[in-house]
Amino acid sequence: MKIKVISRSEEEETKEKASDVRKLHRNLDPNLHPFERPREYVRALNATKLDRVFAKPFVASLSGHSDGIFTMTRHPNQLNCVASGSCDGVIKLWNLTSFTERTTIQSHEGFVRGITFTPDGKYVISCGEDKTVKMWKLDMPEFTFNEDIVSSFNGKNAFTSIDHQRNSSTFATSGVNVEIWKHQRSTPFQTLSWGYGTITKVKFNPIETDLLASCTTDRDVILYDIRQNSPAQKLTTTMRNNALAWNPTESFTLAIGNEDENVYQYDIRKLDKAMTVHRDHVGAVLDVDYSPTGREIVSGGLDKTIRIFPVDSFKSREVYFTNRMQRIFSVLYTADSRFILSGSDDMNIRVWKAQSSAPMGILSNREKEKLEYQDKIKEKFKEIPELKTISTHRRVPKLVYKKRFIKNEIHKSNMRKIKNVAENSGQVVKVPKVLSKHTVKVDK
Amino acid sequence: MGVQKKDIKKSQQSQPKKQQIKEEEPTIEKDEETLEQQDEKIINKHWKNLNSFNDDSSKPENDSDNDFGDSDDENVNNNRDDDGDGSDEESNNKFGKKRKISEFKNDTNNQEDDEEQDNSNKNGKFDTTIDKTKKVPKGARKYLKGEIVAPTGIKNPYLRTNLKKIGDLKRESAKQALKSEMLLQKDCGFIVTENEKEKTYKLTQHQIAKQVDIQSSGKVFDLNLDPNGPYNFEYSKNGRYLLLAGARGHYSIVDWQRGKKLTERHLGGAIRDACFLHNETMFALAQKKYTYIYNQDGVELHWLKDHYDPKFIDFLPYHYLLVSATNKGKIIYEDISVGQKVVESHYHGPLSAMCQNPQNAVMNLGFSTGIVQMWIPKSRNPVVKIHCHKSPITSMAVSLSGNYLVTAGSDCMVKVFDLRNTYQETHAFATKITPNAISLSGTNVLAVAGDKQTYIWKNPFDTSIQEPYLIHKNNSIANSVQFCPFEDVLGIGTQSGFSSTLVPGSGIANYDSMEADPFASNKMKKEQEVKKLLEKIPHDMITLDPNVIGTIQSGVKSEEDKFKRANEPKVDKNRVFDPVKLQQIKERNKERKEKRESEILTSTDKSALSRFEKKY
Repeated sequence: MKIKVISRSEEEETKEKASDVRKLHRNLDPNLHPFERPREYVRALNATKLDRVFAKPFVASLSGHSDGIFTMTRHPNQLNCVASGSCDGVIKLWNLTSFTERTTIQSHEGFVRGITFTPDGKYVISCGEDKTVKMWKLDMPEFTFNEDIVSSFNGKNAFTSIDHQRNSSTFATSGVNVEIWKHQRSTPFQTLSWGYGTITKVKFNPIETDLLASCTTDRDVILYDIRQNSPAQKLTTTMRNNALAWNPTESFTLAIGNEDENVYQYDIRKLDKAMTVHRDHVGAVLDVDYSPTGREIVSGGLDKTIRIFPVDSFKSREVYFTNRMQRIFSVLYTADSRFILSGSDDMNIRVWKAQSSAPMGILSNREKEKLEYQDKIKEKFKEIPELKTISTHRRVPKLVYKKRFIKNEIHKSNMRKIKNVAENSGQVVKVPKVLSKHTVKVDK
Repeated sequence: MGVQKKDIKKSQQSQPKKQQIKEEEPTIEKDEETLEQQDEKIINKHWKNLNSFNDDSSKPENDSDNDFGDSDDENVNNNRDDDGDGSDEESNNKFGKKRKISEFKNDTNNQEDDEEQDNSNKNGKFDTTIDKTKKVPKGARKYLKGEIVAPTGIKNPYLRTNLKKIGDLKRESAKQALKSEMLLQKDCGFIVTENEKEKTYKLTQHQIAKQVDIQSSGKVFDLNLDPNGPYNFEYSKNGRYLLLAGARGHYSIVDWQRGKKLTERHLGGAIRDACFLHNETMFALAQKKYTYIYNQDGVELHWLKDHYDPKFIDFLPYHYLLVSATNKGKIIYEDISVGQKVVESHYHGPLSAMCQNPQNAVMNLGFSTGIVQMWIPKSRNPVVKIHCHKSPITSMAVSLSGNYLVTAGSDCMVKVFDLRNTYQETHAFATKITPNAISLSGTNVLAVAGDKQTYIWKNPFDTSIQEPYLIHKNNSIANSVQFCPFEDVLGIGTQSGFSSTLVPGSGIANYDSMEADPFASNKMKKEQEVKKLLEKIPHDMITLDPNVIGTIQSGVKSEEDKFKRANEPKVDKNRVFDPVKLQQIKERNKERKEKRESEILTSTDKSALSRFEKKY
C-alpha cells in the first residue's frame, strides 16, 4: 500500500535563500475564489469613488497676455510649444513643460484673429483685423521670434481666421471670401465664395488635404475643394456656426460648434442629418477641437465651461470650470491628447488634464497595470445605477445648473408632446433621435 | 436583487403549502411506485454493501426496514418546487428522481463538468440565450466567468459586436486559465492499494503515520485536555492556526504544525462555540451569556451585548459579518469591521446546527424538526426551507463549490442535497454511528464523527459509494470535526480533548497566496488585511446566486412593446369561448344600449316639451 500526503517545507514554499524573492503561489480554481463577481463590483465601486476623489483636472494657468486670448494653435512637431494670439494684437509662444512664456511679439493692430504654424514648424503665420497676414520666423532651439518679418501679405478686408495646408506652402484665410495663398506670392492665387455672409472660420482637412471647410455668418457651412475653383457643398443650419474641427483620424467627420448651444458632428457624405448631437452646453459654443486620437471632442463657449464629449455619446464626459474663468474663445488639445488648453476672456490660458483623475508623472509598471485593471472593471459595471450616479455626477456653477434644468424641462416637455400626439393618434411611440432639426438645407 | 426578492416570495408562498404536501404523503400514484422501487433497490444495494464490510466495532445496527420507510417518506417530502397544484408536484417528483438515477450515477470526481448540463436545465430568471456554437474546452468550463451570451436578436450593431467580443474574451480567458493549471506544483495525497483485498478503511493512524514522511507523521497527535471537554475547535482559513474551545471555558490558539501555543486561558464560564474572525489575530467565543471577541493575546476586545445567549457563531470572511444564532430565536449579523449590528432576524424552532455556504454566504440553520432553513441578511424569513430528516439534524456541511449540502440526522442517516437548482435530495446513506458532527474537505472528502468513531468517505456525492475510505477510532465521544484547509489533516474535537489525524487526499494541494497563504509573512498579512477590508462586500449583496450582479436581464420591455401591450385587447384567459353565446351576449348588450339611449332621448324630449307646453 502506498500512501502520500501533502507535505510542505517552509523554505521551499517561500524562499530558499534570504536573497531570493518570495514565491507567490497562484491557483485559479474558482472554488478558492468565492464571490468573484461581488468582489469585483466592490472594487469597481471603490475605483469610481477614488476616481472622483483624485479628480483634480486643473494643472496650470499661463498668464502674460494683457487682453483676452482669441486664438491658439499647437506646434506641428514640438509637443510643448503652443502659440496664442490675443485681442490686442500680441502673439505669444509658450513652453508647456515649464509653463513659461517663450517669446512675445506685437504682430497686429487690433485683434489677432488666427495663428498657424507652417508644416515644418519654422514659421508662424498670423492674420488680424488690420487686413494683414504676417509671417514670422522662429529661431530654432528656443523657438523665439526673429524680430524681422519674413513676409507680409496685405488683403482688402479684415481677416477672420487662417489655416495652413498640411505638407505644402499653401494656406487659407477667411474674411469676405476664402482666399488661398502661397508663401512665395504676395497675392492670393485663388478666391472662393458662395453667398454673401462673412466667413468666420476656415479649416483644412488634415487627411484629405485639399478639402477645406468654412462657416459663415449667414448660418452656412461651406465645403471647398481647392483643386477646383468653386465650392463643393453647402449646409445651412438653423443658427450660426461658430467653430469647426475635422476629425484627425476620420477624414469625413466634421464637428461644428453652434450658437444653439450644441456641438454637431456631420458626416460630409450625408450632410442632411447630423451624425451626433452633443447637447450639454448651456451657452453658445465658441470653439471645438478634436483630440488627436479622434475619439473625443473638447468644446468651450459662452457658458464659461469646457466640456469633453466622447465622439459617440451625446452626453459630455467631463465639465471643467473655475470661478475666475470667463467666456472661452478657444480650446485646444495638446498633441499627446493628455492635456487641454483653454484661452478665455480673462487673459489666461489654462491647462487641464484630459482625464481628470489621471496621475501625472511617470508610472511604474504595477501602477499602470492597476489603473488598466480598474478601468476595465469600471467599464464592466458602469451601467449599474450606484456606479453611474457617482461617475457621472458633477458639480457645476449655479447658473449652468439652472439653465440646464430649464433646458431639460423643455426637452422633457417636447418628448411628452411627441408621446401624447402619438398615443392619441393610435400610433406606436417612436422617439426621434435628434430633437432639434438642425439642418435646414443642403446645397451641392 | 430582483431575483432574490422573487426567491423570498417563493419561499414565503411555499411555507403554507409544505404542510399540504405532508398531508398528501400517503397518496402516491402508481406510476411512481416503479421509480420508487428502483430507488429502493439502490438503497438496498447500499445497505448490502454497508453490511458486507467487516467492522470490528460492536455498534448495534439500525433496522434496515425502518430505513427504507424513512427514505421513502422523505422522497415525497423533499419537493421544494411547490408552485402549482398536486399534479405539478408529481411531475416535479418524477423529474427529481430521474435526475437522481441517470445523472448522478455518472459523476464521480468532477462535479464541475456537469454544470453544462445543469445550465441547460436551468429555467433561470436570467434566461438569456446561451451560446453553444462555440465550445469551450471541457476542463476550462469551470474557469468560465458567467455564461457566454449569444449575440442573437440584438439590433444595435455596436451592442452586438461588443457582446460577441466579450464572449470571445471570456472563452479566451477560460482557456488561458486552463493552461495555467500546468503551473500547479503540488499533487494531492492518496492511498493506493495493491489489490482489491486491501481495504483502506482497515488502516489505522499509526500505520499511516509510519508510511509517510517524518514531518507529516508529526501531524498525528492527541491532546488530552480532559476535564475541560467536550471540545469545539476551528482551523484558521489558511490552515496554520487552531482555535480550541472547551465547553468548560478553556480556550487556546495553537500554531499546530510547529507546536507553538499563542495564547491560552480558562474563562470559568461555558464556551458553546468559537470561530476565528478575518485572520488569526482575532477570534470570537460564544460564551454562556454573550458573545465576546478576543485578540491573539487573549485580551477581551468586545463584549457583544446584543448577542445574548448565543448557541452557534460563525464568521463570513468576505462580508466581515459575525453571525450568532442564539437560543432566544435570534440570528444576528454583526459587521465587525465597523462594529455595528447589521441585521437581526428571528427564527422559530429548536436550533440544532448551523453552517455557512462558502460560495454564497447563506447561513444554513438546522433544526430538531429535521428542517434546514437558509437565511440571508436581507430577508426576515428563510429564503429556502428543506425538510431533510424526520429526526433532529445534528450537523451540516456545504461543499466548497457550494453545490452540495450534506446533512446528518440523529436517525443515523447522512443525506446529500443538490443546492444548484432543485434543492432536492440526491441520495442518502446510513451510518453505523449516530453522527454528532460532519465536515467536508476542499476535495470533497466527508468525515462523519459520532460516538467513538469517525467515518470518512471519499466521494460522498457519488451515489455508488459503498465502503468508507477510512475509519478512525477516537479516545472518547467525538463532538466536532473539521478538515484542515490545504492539509491532509482531519481534526476531531472530543470529550477529552483534541486529536489530529491524517486523511490522505483530503486537502487542496495548491493554495493561492492572494486568498489564504499558510506561510504568509507579517507584511503580507497586513497588506492582505487592508485589501480585504477595502473589498468588503456589503451585507445586502448576499443572495442565493452571488453572481447575479452584472448579468444581462432579458425580457425587459421596450417602450414600443409596452405601448403595444397596453393597447392589446384584454382577454381573460380563464374564460371559455362559445361563439354562439358570445354573439348572444353582444346582441343583448347592443339592445340594452339602444334601449338606454332611446330612453334618455325620449325622456328628455318629453320633459323639455312638456315644460314648455305648460308655459304656453
